[in-house]
Amino acid sequence: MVKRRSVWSILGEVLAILVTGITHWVVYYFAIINACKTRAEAAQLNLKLPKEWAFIDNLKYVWNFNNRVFLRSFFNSVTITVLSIIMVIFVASMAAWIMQRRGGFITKWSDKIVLAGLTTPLAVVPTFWVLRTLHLNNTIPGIVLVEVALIFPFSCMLYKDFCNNLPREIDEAAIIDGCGPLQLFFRVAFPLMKPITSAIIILRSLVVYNDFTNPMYFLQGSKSSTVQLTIYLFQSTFVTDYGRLFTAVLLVCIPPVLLFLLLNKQIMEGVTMGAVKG
Amino acid sequence: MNTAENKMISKSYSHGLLIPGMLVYGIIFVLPTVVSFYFSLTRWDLLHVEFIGLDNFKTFLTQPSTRTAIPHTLVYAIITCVCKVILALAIAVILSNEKIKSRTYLKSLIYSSCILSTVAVGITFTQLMHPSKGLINQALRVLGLPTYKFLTDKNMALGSVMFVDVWRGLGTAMVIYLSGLGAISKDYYEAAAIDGATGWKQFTKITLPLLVPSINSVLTLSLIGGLKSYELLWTMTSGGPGYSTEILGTVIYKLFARSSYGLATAGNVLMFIIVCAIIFPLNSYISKKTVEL
Repeated sequence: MVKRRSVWSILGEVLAILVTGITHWVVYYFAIINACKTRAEAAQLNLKLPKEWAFIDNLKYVWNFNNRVFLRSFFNSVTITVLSIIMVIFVASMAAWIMQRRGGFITKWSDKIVLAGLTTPLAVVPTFWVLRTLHLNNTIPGIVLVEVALIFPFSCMLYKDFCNNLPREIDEAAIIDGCGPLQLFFRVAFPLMKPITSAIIILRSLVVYNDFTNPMYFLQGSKSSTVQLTIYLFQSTFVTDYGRLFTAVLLVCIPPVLLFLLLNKQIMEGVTMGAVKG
Repeated sequence: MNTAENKMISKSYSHGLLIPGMLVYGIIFVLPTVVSFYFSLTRWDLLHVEFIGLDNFKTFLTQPSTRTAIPHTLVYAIITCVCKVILALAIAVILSNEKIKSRTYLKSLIYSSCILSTVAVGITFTQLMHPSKGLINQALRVLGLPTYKFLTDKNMALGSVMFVDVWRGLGTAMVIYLSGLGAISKDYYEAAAIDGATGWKQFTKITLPLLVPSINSVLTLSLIGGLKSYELLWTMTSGGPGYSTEILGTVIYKLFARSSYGLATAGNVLMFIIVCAIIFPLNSYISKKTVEL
């Protein structure tokens, strides 16, 4: 049955490689090569190799700029990401477990309300008002709660689909052996959810780290600003200083790119989880 | 027996585990959504509330700075969504062909733009689209073509940002399609080939109908994403030049920043209504078209 490849098929593949070379590699190369240039050279915005390699100088400048604001905001971003993901893993897996395992009025309505959150946009001003009332606006705990609330519906849905395939016999055996509700969940159910937990950790941490809108609303002008807000401000601070601007852009992209290089397969698989409902 | 079983269920699957999640979600997400309907009818400075009926909506729909937001949002969401749905499908169908040796490489490369932060992508493309010295215009000049003011021309700015949005979002759509295509059994194609159906006919009679669930999720995800979008436009144009790229996201932020909280909330409520009015009918229409395997 194996047919030889037609000329057209080979030609198509070569064309695809060339086109993506222009649409993707040129864009990445442009950002990287301009991060290596001095102010005057970077102002040309071209693809030529720099006459004078200035990457280390740019790096030092961005690093030390404004009392190391970049480093501080990077640290904040990482803190927010880690805290949000840990919290959402626990609250979503517990909630989904109960919603999937037992019926009744409360679970049914919780389920419906959570599902509605998949499409609904966040009502930003009232949320700001709630956070302000709780004295949590412009603080890291405040933004963590917002991120958790926003990822909660989707994570819940993934966990619920997964619990659907966990046999109830396991629970029954554990209950007969005397497991209470907490033991049943933490000792028996949660460890079995590992595949979906890791998918949520990988993909949602990218979402939280890259988030710009919510820090913009809920971390205004505060010391706890995130790295995305910082590079946004750099765009107007380094207005014609493209070398330094692109250095900052590259630094921001390092964590997601590392994650992508290390966990390429898991990320791609994670994208499709929950995207298509069986 | 039955009561004993019920007792066992309520004991082993305690509602207590539901509480932390629902509490955070309820206070930070559900409560603001519910009260937003009331606050959209008020003049509000976060402390004092004055009921003014539908005035905010009237203002929102007539003021020059806000009235273009809804048509722009619809155009932006629908066009980016259609481009992603069709382009990603074409790419996925090509890459699903096992004869293509570099498919893993191409798939990773096309997906790579989706993991980058929107702000970083926005900053890079703003420079690529620089009106005089941007790389795209440099290339056009070399080819002897006219150059464009991509982001500073009122008629082009929204389209230019939509292009970047599609560039960034294509990968996710492609990956979803590829997994859908992978799930279609080869038997269908072999049977079709024996019956004499080739290429295009196989695509329209087998691939497309069986891919409806994937198409549905790409469509829904990118449409919702487009309607709520804000980051890319804010980084690249901030709604300008003039009001030519104002969408609901940017308008709501601007109103929020100048403390027009009631009016901003009205904008949010409009966004809520638009999302619901589009997504729910669309989903029920498509689920009717889903083919049972």
